[in-house]
Amino acid sequence: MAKYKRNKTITIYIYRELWGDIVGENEREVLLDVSDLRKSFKGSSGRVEALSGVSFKVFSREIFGIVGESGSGKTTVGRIISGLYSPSSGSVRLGNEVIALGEDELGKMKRSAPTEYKRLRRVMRSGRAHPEIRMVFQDPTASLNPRMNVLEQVGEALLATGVRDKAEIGEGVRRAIADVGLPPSCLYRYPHEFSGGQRQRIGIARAIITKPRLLIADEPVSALDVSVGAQVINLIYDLARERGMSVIFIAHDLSLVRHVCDRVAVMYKGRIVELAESEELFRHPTHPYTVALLSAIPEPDPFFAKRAVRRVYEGGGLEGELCEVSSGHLVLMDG
Amino acid sequence: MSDNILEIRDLHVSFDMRHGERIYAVRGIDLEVKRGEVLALVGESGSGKSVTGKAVLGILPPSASITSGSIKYNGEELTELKCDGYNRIRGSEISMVPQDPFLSLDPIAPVGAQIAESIRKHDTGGRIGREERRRGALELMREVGIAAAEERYGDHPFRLSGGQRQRIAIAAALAPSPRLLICDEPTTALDVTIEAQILGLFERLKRQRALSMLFITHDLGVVARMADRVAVMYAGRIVEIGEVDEIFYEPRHPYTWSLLSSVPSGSGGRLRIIPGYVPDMRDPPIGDAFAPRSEWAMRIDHLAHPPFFDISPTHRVASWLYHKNAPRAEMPSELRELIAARLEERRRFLMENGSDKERCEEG
Repeated sequence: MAKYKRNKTITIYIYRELWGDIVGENEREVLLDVSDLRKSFKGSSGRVEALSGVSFKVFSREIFGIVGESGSGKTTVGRIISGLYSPSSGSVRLGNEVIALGEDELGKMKRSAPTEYKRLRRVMRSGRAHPEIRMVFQDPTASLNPRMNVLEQVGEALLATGVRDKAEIGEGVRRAIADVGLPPSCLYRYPHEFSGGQRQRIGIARAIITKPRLLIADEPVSALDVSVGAQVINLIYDLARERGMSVIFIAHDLSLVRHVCDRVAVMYKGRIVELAESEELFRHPTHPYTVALLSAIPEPDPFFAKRAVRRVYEGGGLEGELCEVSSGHLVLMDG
Repeated sequence: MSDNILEIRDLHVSFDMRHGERIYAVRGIDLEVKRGEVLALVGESGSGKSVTGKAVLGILPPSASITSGSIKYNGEELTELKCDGYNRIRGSEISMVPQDPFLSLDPIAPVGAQIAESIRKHDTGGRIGREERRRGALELMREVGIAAAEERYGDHPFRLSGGQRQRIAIAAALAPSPRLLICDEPTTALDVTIEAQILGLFERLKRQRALSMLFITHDLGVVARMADRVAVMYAGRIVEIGEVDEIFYEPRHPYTWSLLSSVPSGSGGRLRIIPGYVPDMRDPPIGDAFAPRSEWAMRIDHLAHPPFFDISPTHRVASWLYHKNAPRAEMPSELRELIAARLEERRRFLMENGSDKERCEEG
């Protein structure tokens, strides 16, 4: 009986492999699989848990939003995925490859698979992002080297992946600069000669020049003017769609997230409290925190903004696990 | 006494930069804040809205100067005041809530003491004793909604969250019981849930203390919630001014149309943006400054600055489109549909809830 069951699953698996293209959209390819990620930092009074069990998947070609207020752990998630922090426990997988693993799991791996353990430990200790993952940072002024011109700045990313041919680097930089909408004349200019929006474009050029499959944009526009920020968001959106790149868009501005993201995860105190397709999330918020968060957005309408009933989140609902309330809509709840 | 607590007439402010360059930040604005009302000043950064707020308070940086115009507070001309005179007005009559309280609070003084100091500074006779000041500060902290005020009194700013710091900054601004509050993007640095609380606090203070406010912001959601009247600024000038309903439901200036259309709402991938860039204020364009970015621009827009045309007794717009010889201009159809949908929603809401008076009182 048991044997029969196993065979059946194998059959289904083969069927999916063969018919994947035809079955199409329901069976999307998982690019990034984050599983039960935990991270604690040493604080002045003991350890502070920044993440307490975060799991989600990012599909390929998807723009995935993470929202939450300051201290919710959204930036920590981004930094673990990009290799800047190592997790206390849990795992991050890119495709079939494990790219980050918690200490306990690493210890187990040391015994069971020593070669794989050595490789992974080397990767994680290097503090470098996986070659397929690149980041765009919040403050373009702080994240660019003031003493490098655009050619060096953007070319350095190619250099780091092992390209040594100067002509090839120059060509790559030129193309990346054109892709982000900057004129070729800016190659030999320095960061201080650019406006905030242009600097963020340079940061994006540096990220996309290696053709990553996943871009992590951590509050890419919160340091910019609203109108300039909108242009940068549109640029990231267009690049993602043209190149079939996945994006993790970390932000606190819900209206932006709603607009550009396919799916959105809402984080609070180191947990994902709700995860759904963005329209679904905004139409039917379910977790009390999400409800409070959405009701706090001032509507651009004088009648309703002055009358809106604002829900206050009074804590609670942070235990249990993510349960599916409707197709693809996960809510943190008991039972 | 006139109806207006603040009257600004034809104000020009410019900055003198190095190399003899001049930035014309404010280029002739007229506005008035009526007693007990909230006037929102909206615009992109570089439109001159913050400079206007600072000019009223007399805290422009040294490189800036008011080149002409008048600012009258309760009929008293502020631009002619010397330092002493301004100190009398500043704080006790007009006060300011800054954008980032972390920069405006003293990092090495307890927050309660900073509020108490604000009381002492404005106690001209020196009649209020130390203990009384402390009690006053605690009372203010409670008024702005700081829980356990006694415990928080001795805390330094870094121990407080962003929202609590902003509450302290508001308490310090309120200490001398001002009549007019200038709020310069007071919630931009805060999370949305905290922003909603602080805006609620402003609403309550306005009601309880009969405050008038000049509310400077770029967020149209905040404007919709707070404002009684709205002035839209672009490139150092006011392009449209009116009651909040007039601006949101019957906007007239192409720039206001663009602003309202670019509010991200719903999903749809790319954001709608206003094409082009804000003009360089070292060399402001002749004529209507928005003309280069506007699809409604006419030849005259590039030649002469439009005067104000009255749409209603409370609604004025500076655009040649409303000159009697101009062709009839319509707002973009998408915006018209959006507004129609909102009005429809509003009508349905009123039908279902009858008159909404009870709800208001509840809130």
